Amino acid sequence: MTGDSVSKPSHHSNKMSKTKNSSKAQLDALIDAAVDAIIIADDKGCIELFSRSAEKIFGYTQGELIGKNLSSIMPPPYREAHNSYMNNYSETRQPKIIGIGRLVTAQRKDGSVFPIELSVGETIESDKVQYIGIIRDVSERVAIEREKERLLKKNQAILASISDLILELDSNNNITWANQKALVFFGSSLLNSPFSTIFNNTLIPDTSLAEKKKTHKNATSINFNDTPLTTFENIDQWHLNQSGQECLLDWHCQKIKSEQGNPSGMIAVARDKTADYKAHLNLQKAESEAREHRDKLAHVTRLSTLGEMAAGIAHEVNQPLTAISTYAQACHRLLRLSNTKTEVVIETLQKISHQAQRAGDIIHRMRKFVKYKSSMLEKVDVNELISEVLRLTDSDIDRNNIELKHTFFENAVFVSVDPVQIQQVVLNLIRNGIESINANTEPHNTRTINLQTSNIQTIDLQRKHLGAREIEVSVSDSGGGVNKETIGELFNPFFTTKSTGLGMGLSICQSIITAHHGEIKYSPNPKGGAIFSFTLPIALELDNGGVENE
Amino acid sequence: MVALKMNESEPTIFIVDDDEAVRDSLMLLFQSVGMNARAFESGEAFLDQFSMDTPGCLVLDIRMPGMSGLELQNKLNAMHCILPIIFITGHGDIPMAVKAVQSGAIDFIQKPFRDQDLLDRINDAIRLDITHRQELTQTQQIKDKLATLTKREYEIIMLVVDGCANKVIASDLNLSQRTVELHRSHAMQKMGAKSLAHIIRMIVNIN
Repeated sequence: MTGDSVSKPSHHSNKMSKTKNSSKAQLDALIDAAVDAIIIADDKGCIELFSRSAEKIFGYTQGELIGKNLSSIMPPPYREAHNSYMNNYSETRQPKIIGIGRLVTAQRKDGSVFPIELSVGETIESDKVQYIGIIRDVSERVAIEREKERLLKKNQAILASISDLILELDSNNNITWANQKALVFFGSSLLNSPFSTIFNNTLIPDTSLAEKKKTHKNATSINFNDTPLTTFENIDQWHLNQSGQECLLDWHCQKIKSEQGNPSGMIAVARDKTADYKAHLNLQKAESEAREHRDKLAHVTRLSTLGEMAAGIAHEVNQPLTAISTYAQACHRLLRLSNTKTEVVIETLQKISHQAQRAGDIIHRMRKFVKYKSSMLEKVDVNELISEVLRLTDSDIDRNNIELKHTFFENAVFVSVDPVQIQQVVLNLIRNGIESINANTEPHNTRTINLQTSNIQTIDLQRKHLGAREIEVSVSDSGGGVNKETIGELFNPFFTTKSTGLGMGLSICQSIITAHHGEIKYSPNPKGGAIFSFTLPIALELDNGGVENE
Repeated sequence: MVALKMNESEPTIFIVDDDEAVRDSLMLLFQSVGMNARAFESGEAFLDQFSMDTPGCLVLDIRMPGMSGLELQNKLNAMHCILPIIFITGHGDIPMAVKAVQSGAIDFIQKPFRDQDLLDRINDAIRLDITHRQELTQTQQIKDKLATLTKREYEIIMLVVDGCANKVIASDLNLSQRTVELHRSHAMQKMGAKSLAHIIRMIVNIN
């Protein structure tokens, strides 16, 4: 196009010389109407004509430039070199630009430099040489091209740096393009193969998948057929890569729509989540080790607690044994008497059986408490759970002449916990209360322990779900309380204020409660003594579809 | 209630134990040997209902919530109650049992016990209580009789018991020997003493 526009003026100018007068007006109109800038200069580069478009493009008026050298609209270094270009042409007649057209730069009046497309023609009339320059401002086009190139480079950089596998599919689901990561993963035979073939052929064996599903709940086992793919997201699928390693890919698939809105293909992206999965497995393993450790420690602590309680428990078992023994001996004597009624003996035998049951229950409770098992969550009523603890501590409470009051939240409150471990916490807190009361030497020391369960609403939204409800269990005693200096250390392992004891009690309590997503804390009792309280999240619904808890 | 009143003078075994089964089985045991027994669930209930006049013994659990066995023992001691106490104790309660014996309990027996051991101790205790009560009655009678003596008669009897002859007493009190003999004879009659040895035994007894 530029070539045409260069030759035309010279063609026109030949005609013009023959019909000069009528053509002059036509020519002026043509020059003014042209969108491209038209500049005419003499053989020295002196500007003779500067068209209206030229004024617009360069910001000069014609008057400012007529008679000036062409170099004034050129930026350095062309500005300095232009005269030598022109001289060179005059001497050699070897055109560097005339009739060729080139992309060069020009300079506006305000000094800004911009790209132009320049075509130059020349006319020679009665020894007078004139150069006609036609100039098009291409700054916009150049900018668009640059941007295009930049975007292309950017996309290449993104695709090269991204760790996801990316595939482009045509409307027949054949793979037309793949990024480097995808090529490495699936092999270069990937290209031009149907997506379903690549997908299905790289799936891991079923046995291996079954193994994975044990630890990876979301693992899917989809097989694609050749029907057009639909958009899908978050499909976790195990594949074998080129090196035969099992990798977890998280697939996402999006349709590419043509301008008419018809699907013209798909982009399938697979994220390699193998590392995440392994980290998840390691975390699970670490958690399960920690849990096991906690369970063992809890068990040892329970054993030691029970050891300390042995005397009280022996006393408790001794009661039914005494009754049994006495009943049996009385029966023996009664049977030797002639006038004894059979009913009395039968009734007494029933009482004996009942007392044996009672002794058995104590032993059973104790065994249940010290038995080692890894923690298992059960849905239980907190009040029921604590009542059972009270049966264990009864003899201790009586022995130490302590009054234990309990206020239970009126309704059953279900929590999902390991019952024995929570009971262990309550038992520990009660026993600490007893010891603290015994250690208190103040003269008007009352001997009471208050046990309370109450329902609270969580306000800590960061840590829990909105509106999560918790039950709070608090044990307050009338003992000496905790020294201000030692409050911070209370829950540390091996911290103890007692002459006996390992100092593991509160520490294990804390780790049990934390593992149950609750919190344990100490606060001073306003009436003197200590309050230890812990929270547990309330289980929202019953397994058997019963009512939701308050 | 009527039956209770009738039995009041009969020896009764009082049982104080917080454990219902233990109380019930003890009641049955005592019933099987035909003994009178009453059971109480706490020291407070016992103090409320028992009568000091009833002979017998107290079978007392040493370890109870509220008032402990030892506390009840102290209260009874303070009331000058002479009811013999047999403590029933658990295995770990020996130091407490020793304390109880030091405070006057006649014995302790560990749970669970052989019925015969308990019954033997109870029989001993009841026998002791009866003797004790009889002695107390006699002492009281002597004291009552002593109270009927005039000041002079009392003075002379005390000197007689000390071993003084009438002559010595007469000179000490600045009385005639005849007057001393008269007072002495009145006093002996009032005391119901048949001989010098008899009156000496009486006075030694009350001291």
